[in-house]
Amino acid sequence: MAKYGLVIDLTKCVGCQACTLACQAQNELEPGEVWVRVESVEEGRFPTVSRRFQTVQCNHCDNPPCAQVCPTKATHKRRDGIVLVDNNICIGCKYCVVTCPYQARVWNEDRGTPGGCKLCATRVTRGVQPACVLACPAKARTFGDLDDPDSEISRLIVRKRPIRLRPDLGTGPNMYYVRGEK
Amino acid sequence: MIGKTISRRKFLVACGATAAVAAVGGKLIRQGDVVHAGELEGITPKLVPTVCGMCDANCGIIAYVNGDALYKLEGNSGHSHSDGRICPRGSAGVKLLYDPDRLRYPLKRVGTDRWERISWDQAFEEIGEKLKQIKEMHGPQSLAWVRHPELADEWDQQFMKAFGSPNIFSHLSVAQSARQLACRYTLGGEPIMDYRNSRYILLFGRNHGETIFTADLQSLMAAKEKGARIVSIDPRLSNTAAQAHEWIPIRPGTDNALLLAMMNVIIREKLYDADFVAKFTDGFEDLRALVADKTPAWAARITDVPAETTIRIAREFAEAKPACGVDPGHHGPWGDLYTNSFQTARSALILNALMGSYGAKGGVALPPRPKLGKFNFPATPPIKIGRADGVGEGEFSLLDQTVGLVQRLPEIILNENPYPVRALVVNRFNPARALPDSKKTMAALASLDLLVVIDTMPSDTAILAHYVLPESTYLERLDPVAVSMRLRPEIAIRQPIVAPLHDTKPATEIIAGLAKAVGLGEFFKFSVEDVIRARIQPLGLTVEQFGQKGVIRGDEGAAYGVPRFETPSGKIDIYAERLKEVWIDPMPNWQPPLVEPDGRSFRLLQGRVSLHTNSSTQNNAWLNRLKPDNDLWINTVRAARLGIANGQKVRVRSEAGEVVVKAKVTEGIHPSAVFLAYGFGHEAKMQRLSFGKGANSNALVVGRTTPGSGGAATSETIVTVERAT
Repeated sequence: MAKYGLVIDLTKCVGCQACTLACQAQNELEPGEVWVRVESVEEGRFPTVSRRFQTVQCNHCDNPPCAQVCPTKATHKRRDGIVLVDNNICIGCKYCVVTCPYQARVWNEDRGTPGGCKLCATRVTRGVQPACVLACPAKARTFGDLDDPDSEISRLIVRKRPIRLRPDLGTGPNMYYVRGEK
Repeated sequence: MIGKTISRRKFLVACGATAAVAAVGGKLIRQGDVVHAGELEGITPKLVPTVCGMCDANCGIIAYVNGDALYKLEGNSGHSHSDGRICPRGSAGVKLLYDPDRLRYPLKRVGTDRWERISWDQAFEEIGEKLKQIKEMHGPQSLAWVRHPELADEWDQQFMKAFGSPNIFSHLSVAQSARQLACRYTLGGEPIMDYRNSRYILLFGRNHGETIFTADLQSLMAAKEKGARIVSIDPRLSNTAAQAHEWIPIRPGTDNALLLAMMNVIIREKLYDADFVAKFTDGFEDLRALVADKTPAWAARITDVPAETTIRIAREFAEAKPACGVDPGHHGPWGDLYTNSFQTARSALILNALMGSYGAKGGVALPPRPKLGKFNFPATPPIKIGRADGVGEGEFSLLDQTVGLVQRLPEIILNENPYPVRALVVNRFNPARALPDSKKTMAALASLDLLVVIDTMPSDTAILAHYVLPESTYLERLDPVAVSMRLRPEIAIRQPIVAPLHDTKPATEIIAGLAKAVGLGEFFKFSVEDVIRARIQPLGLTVEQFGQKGVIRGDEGAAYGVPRFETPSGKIDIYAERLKEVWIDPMPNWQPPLVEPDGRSFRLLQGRVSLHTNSSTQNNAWLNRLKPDNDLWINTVRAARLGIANGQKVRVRSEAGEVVVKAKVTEGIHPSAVFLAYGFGHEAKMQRLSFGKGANSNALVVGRTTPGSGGAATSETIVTVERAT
């Protein structure tokens, strides 16, 4: 069985938010409802200054805290690793929203349920790349099967030694970030 | 293949094994190595290729259409402007189509902020009548026309020719006319860069991360991955500079000094391609003499770039030749930012010549054009009177008469000098936000006897108009052929994805309607289809077949090999004799910027943000929420001296006007400058989301016209900054 994830090469990211918008379009999100967010941080003193970008979305964790705290099992992890919410049985308790260490669960006031990156589940099961991956004008994003050692994503992980966000929390995140020296 | 829904069986045949995985239900479309598909449960969207219109890059995109509704947009991997990718503004095109604040029907102004819905017939009749009266009273030249040239630009030009007025303007003199003129008189064409194969890329103010030409950003990052070195020379740490290997925060307006000093090193150390220079350039000995005293130490005093940095990058750059280049476009220091922009552009083009990079893989190319047929527009009588802005004679005799000097229009209108201009048509442009000195511009617009605005949104110019004519968006109309400007000859079609949602028309029909109303219908007896048909005739295609394919492309690599330089010498004109006619130095000599801030003031810089196109997208629901306003970038040290904290409101003043805006205190800007993104500060209440948010940078910009090259030199503006509380 596949285990899906992303490698995001932050040495190419220019923080343009094409990923954010492609996700909003794909999922027909409300304005301000952001499932893929882009943060930036400035470091150094003029004239030696750098700005780094960091994109954050659901990490489709191996041990998703959101699923563990969900009282109705609305949040569940599929066999291919994708973490989804079943809106039909969600009771809107927001436990997942406060539990996610990546703040990747986004509350939708109108619907009364949380949302977040679905790794474009219905696209990827049909062999189509996630919307954010296909949009990125810097080609910084790679989607694939982390369990397949021959996949492009697995080879990238070997070659570029990307980091993950807070793996020390034991969540087993599946978003990998290439951060490079510059 | 794109555009036709193909059967699953055919798809499997076409794509082999991958398709077996890919085609679980629904229909999928493969273009190159990319598979597109809709996601809606139980629904199979139709995929239609078209051309984006969120900015003027004209990227090939694919629209997902669900019944009669647009679901989403993706990049078309079969088109060389998008290369399968889509920028944030491109994705947000859906929200333009469905914007509740869009112009939905023709409007007539009946008072301040009071509008009446009228029919198209009434609009054409009344405007036609007024145009005829104004023509009778003041002559045909009293009508001016301003547009952001679109795919259908020939309609705008045809109208003015038929009407008999020379006064047609575009935005180019506030954007990049200095660069265009420099390209014409140095190379005979406008070059692009082959980033993907390049080994050393110098970006002078070029900001791919925020202007976003998706194919270029991809190629730039692909080159970075392959080991190319990217150096950004920019007074501001743009998002592109942030991803360069090196950011050189140059003093704004001094780029030519750095370029000349690099050439000093390269010539002195004989690092140039002597063979290329001998064969393909004219004036090298003049250049040697010119740069002899332009040493890195000389440049360091002007640019704030240490001499050793200049020497190092000159050597590294030459080491990579010919797979290297100074990025030759777009705005930046050789757009129309400074009075010295023209010579800065010339120096950049000449430095590339020293590297022999024209036509080299990884160098700089002149885009190959497809061989298309010609449509003969009905002939119009010659225009006898000269342009109101002086273009075409004297110091402006080298400038393009279809471009003009739009920044001069307000004073022409207000002073009726050299003659009255009493009527103005504005098509897909927003002078109230795009031209310098907004106060004066808006006063001029308000003083006209007739102002007609053609647009999709109620812009700040539209609210001053007597009549507003709503244009169908790029997703609802057919436009003439889009010709690509990248490494291969290529054309694409923009076609209606959905039927017009409201009582709108394509600009082509609006313009033809206006022509008929003023009795000039005989000059518009043709349709968009007629023009497309004539242009694609050599390809043996029908318009329908073109629509199904979406893109027709020739071979990549057509751009390689030294191009033909269409200059007087047939070579790259380092020395350009013709410039003497307009009193411009035929050599790219150093000339300081016109104004210089002191310890108490700043130079005002403007630029783009990734989420907006000039002033046209601020009301887009998705983009507005992510980037509702702009802020004033100010260096930490200067801000501290003025007691300004991050996020605090500041008052910014220039001799043209003042604005109040939030401060962004940052290490990422040269201390002598402040930066304000343009396009914000909307005053049109009909744009409910963008109204009153952020500040209009052009309220501060001082209106100027550079002698000879005509550029508006928008960064030759000095401002003071103080706490607003």
